[in-house]
Amino acid sequence: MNRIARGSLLGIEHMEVAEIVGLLRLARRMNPLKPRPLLRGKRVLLLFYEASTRTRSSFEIAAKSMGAMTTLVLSSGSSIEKGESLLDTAYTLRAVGADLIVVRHPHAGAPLLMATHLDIPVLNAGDGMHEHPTQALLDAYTILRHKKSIKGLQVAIVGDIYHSRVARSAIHLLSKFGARITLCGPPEFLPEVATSLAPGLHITRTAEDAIRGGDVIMVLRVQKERLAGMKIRLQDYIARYQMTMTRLKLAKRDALVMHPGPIIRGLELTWEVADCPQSVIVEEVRNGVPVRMAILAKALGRAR
Amino acid sequence: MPNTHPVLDSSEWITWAQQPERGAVVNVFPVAAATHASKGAALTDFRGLQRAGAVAVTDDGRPILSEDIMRETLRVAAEINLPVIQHAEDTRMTENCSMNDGPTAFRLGLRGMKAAAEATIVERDVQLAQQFTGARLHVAHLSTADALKAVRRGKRGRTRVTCEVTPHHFTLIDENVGEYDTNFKMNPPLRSISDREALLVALADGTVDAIATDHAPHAPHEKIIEFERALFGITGLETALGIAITRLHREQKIPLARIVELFTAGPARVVDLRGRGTLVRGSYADVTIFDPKKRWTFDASKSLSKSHNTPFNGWQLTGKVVATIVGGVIQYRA
Repeated sequence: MNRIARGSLLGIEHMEVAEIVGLLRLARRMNPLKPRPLLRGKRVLLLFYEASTRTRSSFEIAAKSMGAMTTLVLSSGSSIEKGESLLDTAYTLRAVGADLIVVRHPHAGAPLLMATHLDIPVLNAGDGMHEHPTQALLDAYTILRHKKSIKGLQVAIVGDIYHSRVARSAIHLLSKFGARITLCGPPEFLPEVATSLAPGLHITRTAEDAIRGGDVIMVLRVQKERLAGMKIRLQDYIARYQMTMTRLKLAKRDALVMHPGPIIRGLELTWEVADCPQSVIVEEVRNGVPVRMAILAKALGRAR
Repeated sequence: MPNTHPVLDSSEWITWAQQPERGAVVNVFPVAAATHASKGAALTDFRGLQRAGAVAVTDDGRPILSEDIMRETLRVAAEINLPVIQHAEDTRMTENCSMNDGPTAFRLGLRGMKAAAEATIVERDVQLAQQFTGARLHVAHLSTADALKAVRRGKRGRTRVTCEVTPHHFTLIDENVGEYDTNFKMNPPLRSISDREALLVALADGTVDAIATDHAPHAPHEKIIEFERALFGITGLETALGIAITRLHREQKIPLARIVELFTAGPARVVDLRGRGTLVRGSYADVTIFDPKKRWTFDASKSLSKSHNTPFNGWQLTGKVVATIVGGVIQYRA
């Protein structure tokens, strides 16, 4: 296989801990209110084959605030609709002068395919059910704003783990840093094979067991768009796995409630939980900007 | 195989496929579609197809899922001693899947085909074949340990069930997909290590009747794309013997004679090719001469195939074809 373009960020799985620590440190030096013009003269292409609110806007704001020019290409309204292949689209964007491409794609491995055929960095903004590395990095950043270290933290990840690229990236990252991770969900959302993803993972089918004594509770969205042919009764799911204030009380008093968004109030979590003092859901979104500033600066060799 | 456009579902097409004007330098033994347009609804004219030269019937990549249609296929084919080949896959269980279900699929975020999607169809087909005297079932490119169990059960009873295995399935496992390498994407998919070990045992003990390549060339634009969108299938003709000798003989210590059987007499028995697959006096002079000790490296870019979609590029192999003789004429010389 071809070499991966320098500076690319494709997934957490193959990253070294030192590299992650470096990015998080750099993110802490990024001030979205007083950004340094580290990316002046750079062209950042945002290529989105799937819907996005948070990731897209925070990448765009991060890039622009550091002086880069950004162009957004969506699958609808572009030549992708006419059947242009992923690689031909990538070559086209390179030819118009892109210095970096941020890509979100419904198919796992699509960013890797681009990165092995281009000479500019490719940043994975979510590929199918595979990884969403920038989300995992901003989640680690958020956790570290509240906790001294990730090592030894008890983390519960509750919900549709099978379909979740956020979960895969988070599991890789938290596991590398020595968190104790419990995965929780019904078999349809959490097959036993999930424990093979990283060392020391535990599975429970009972939300209460997962949450009890937890330092971090990560709630995942039920991804209706990926439920091809699955027979999940939402009412049963809500009864057994919805994050409620009652369940949250089982966690440590200073536990963080996290969610990558978009949240569906009344489904995977209640209105009260979403807005409770332990909820850092909005803060995660806010932290996405400095973290993505750091990722962009590092990718383009402008990390200072 | 009738997975062609158009589908080989009439005696006219079967006759056409064998016409000398098409310029084949090897023997062509067509397998006809079992149902019209391989739609799994109405049976084709088995007698007519057989008379035209079809050696078996199958719907190949569009397996016969309906129990009634499969029963009827086996029943009618049994009357004329025609083998029924099934690509055993319950496609209702494998929608949107692109590799084997397991740790690698989970890690890559790919939907996985469960072994049960193959095994349940083989189990059912073996049971159906038992219902008709003379019914012959051949399981194409069998890939799972559970499907092997069903074949063994059938063989122990009176069922005439045969099966074939591909070099890639007895050599590689799902882990080898690595980071979305589409040269490792085929259907049935590369399976778990325990499935592969079961295949090796079955190749040695006689359960497997033939080695088949499931050769499927594809153009670059069908393979150098997103893994989930890439077409299933790999080439395999040029590497089959080298892989078999390297893996089965040198590593697994399976006797060379058994490997030769799996490539010759075995497949000839599966579809009743009389006077072929043997060197007995009076047989057709179809002979492959090979050097079992010749060491070579397979370079896909120098492949004789137009396609380069192989997982074995750069592999060091032992055992190489020196010459191929078809009907007494040397057709290939290394």
